[in-house]
Amino acid sequence: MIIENIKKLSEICAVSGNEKKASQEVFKMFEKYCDNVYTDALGSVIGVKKGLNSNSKVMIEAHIDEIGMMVTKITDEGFIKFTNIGGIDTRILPGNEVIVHSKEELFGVVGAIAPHLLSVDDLNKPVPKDKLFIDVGLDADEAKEKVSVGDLITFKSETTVLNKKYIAAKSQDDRASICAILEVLENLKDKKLPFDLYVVGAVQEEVGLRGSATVTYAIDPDIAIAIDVCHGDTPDASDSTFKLGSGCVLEVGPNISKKLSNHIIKVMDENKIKYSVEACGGNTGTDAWAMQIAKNGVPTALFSIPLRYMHTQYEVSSVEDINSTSNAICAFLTSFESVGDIFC
Amino acid sequence: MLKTLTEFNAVSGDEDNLRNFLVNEIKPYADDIKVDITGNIIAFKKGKKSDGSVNVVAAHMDEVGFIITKIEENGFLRFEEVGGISDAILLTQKVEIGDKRVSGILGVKAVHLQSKDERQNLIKMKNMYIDIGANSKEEAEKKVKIGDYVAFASRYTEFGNDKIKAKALDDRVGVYAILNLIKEEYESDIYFCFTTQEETGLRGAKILSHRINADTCLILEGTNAADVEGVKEHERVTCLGDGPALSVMDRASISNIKYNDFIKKQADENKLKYQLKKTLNGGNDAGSMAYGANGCMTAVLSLPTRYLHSPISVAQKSDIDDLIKLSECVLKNIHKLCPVRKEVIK
Repeated sequence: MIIENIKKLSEICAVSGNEKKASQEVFKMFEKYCDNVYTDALGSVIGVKKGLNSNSKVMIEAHIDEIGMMVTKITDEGFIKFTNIGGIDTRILPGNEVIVHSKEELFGVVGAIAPHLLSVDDLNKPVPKDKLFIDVGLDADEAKEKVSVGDLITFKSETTVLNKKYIAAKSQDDRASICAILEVLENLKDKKLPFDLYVVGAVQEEVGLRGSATVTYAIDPDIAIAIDVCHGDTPDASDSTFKLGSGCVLEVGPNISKKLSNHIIKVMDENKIKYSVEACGGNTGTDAWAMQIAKNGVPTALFSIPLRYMHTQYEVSSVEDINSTSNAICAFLTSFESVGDIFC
Repeated sequence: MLKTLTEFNAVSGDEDNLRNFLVNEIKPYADDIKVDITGNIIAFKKGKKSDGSVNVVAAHMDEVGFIITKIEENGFLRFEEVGGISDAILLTQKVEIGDKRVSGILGVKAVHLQSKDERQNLIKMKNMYIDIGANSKEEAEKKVKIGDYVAFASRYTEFGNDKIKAKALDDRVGVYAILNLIKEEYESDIYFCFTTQEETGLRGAKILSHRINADTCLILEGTNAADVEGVKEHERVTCLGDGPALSVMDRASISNIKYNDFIKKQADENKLKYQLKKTLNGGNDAGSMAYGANGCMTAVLSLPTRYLHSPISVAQKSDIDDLIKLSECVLKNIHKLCPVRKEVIK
C-alpha cells in the first residue's frame, strides 16, 4: 500500500499555496477511515476518527505542500525563465524534466547547453541561476499565449523502486509522512481509541509552517504528533543524517514535550520498534515548531522519516522506515487509557 | 520505431542488444549482412544498375553514458563517463545499469546540508555516486558489477509544437533514417552501415573504412542545435525546423565539396529543406571514413538537436522527415555523382 500511495501522492502538483490537488486526493484517502473529513480556511485537510470518549483529542500531522518553481518571464523566443518556491539547489536543474502548470499541463526540459559549445571556464562551474531556462518546445507566440507569469512548475519524475525496498520519487517531503498516517489509519481501522483521533494534511509548510498553525489552533488537541522527513545517509553528507532502513527517527529537544517523548521511547522499546533519536537544540524547522505554541500550547512530538536528496526530483525513502514510523505511532496511540496518564 | 530505438541502451562498447535488433529489422531488405569484429553492421543492397561504385550510408549505434568503476563499502557506486558528458547535467538523474537495467539515482546531498560555498561549485563526476538502494557492497554486488555500462533513463516524449524529447537522439535518428532508407530501391550498390564506438573517438567507422574502401560515404548524424536562450546568433550551430544540417567541415573532417554541391543541387531541384552547420565544433564518423583506407568522398547530414549528450535531447519531427527525404533523394541519384574509382587512379 505504501508504494502505491507514494506514487499516487508524489505525482500530484501541490506547490505551497496551491495544494488543491493534493488536498482533494488526501481528502478521499482520509474519508475511507474517518467519521468526518473537512478542510479549513487555508485548505488543510482534517479527518476525525471518533473514539470512545470525545473529551480528549490527539492529532497526527504531516504537510501536503511541496517545493517547486514559478514562471517569471516568457522570453521573446518562447523560453521560460523561472524562480524557485522553497529551497532548491539550482545545480540539479539542467537536464531535468518539468511540468509547467499553465491552462494545460506543458511538458518541458530545463535547457543545458551542450558541452561542445561551452568554454573551458564555463565547463568548470555550475550554470548560473540567471542563465537557466525551460524549453516547452513552443514558438514564441504559442508560448506567450499558453503560459502566464506566475504559473507553477514542478519536477517530473517517475516513481521508481530501488532494490525492492527504497522508493525514488519527488515530493516525498512530506507525502511519505502522509503515507505513514494512512498506514496508522489502516492498522487501527477496527479499533476504537479512548479519544478522538485527528489526522491532518497541512498546507504551506515549505514557506513558513503556516497551515499547521491554524489547524492546531482550531483543533486544540491534547497531544500533537508531527511527521516530517530528516536527511538520509549519503556518501557526501555523513553528519546529521540517518541510515535508510534503520527505522523512524524521534526528535528530542525544546520543541518536544519531554514527558511525551520519554513515553514514546518507552513504548517503542516495549514493542521492539526500530528507531533512532535525534536531538535538536531549538527550531526543528518542521510544523512541530508551530504546533507547539498553537492557542494555549500543545505537548508536541515529532517523528522523522529519513530521506535522501531532499528537495530534488528523486527523493529516496525506505518502505521499512515508513512502516516503522506508522508502527511506532500505532503503539503509542494504543498505549494509554487517558491522556493524563502520560503527563502525571 | 524512434521511441523503441531511443529506449535501447547502447553505450559505446555495449551495442549488442541494439545490434541484434537492427540485424533482424534489415534482414528482409538486404542482399548480404555482415557483422565485423568491432560489431559494425554492414548491410549490402545491390543496385538496379550497379556501376561498380562503392557507396556507403552510415549512422552510429552507440550513445554516451557511463561505466561502473567501483562499488563502495556502503553500497554506492562510482563511475566514469563513456563519451563526452557535462558534469552540470548529472545531479538527480535516473540511470539504468547493466543488461538487467537496474535503476539508480545520481544523488547529491540536500540543499539544506550544503554551505554557500559548496553551492557555487560544480560537482565533478569523480565525486558523484549512484544510489541503487543497496546498503552494502555485498548487497550491491548482487545487482551490479564493475564494468557494467550505465545509460540515462529517459522516455521518448512528444511535446510542444512538433517536438520530441529523448536520450540518444545522437545518433538513433541516423539509425532510424537508415532503417527507412534500406527499404527503398536504388540504381547503385549501397552499403547500409551501423557503426560502433563513435562517441569514444570514431573507432568503429575506422574498421569499416578499411573493410569497405568506399568511393562515397554519407554520414547521418545528430548535431547541436543551439537556437536557445543565451546563445548568440553566430554561435547557433543549427536551428530546429530548418531541415537537416549539411556540414562544411568540423574538427574531424572536411566534407567533399563535390558531394556537398551535389546534395545542395538535389535539395534545390526537389525543393527539400536543408541548412548549413554553422560552427566547426564536434566531429563524427566522416573523420574515419574520409581518411580510412584509400580515403573517400564524404558528406554529413545531421538532425539539429538541442541539449545533445544529455537525457533530454530535443528535436523537431519535421526535421527528421526532411533528413530522410533528402538522404533518400541523394542515394537514389548517387550514380550521378560520378565518383572517381580508385582503381582508375592506380
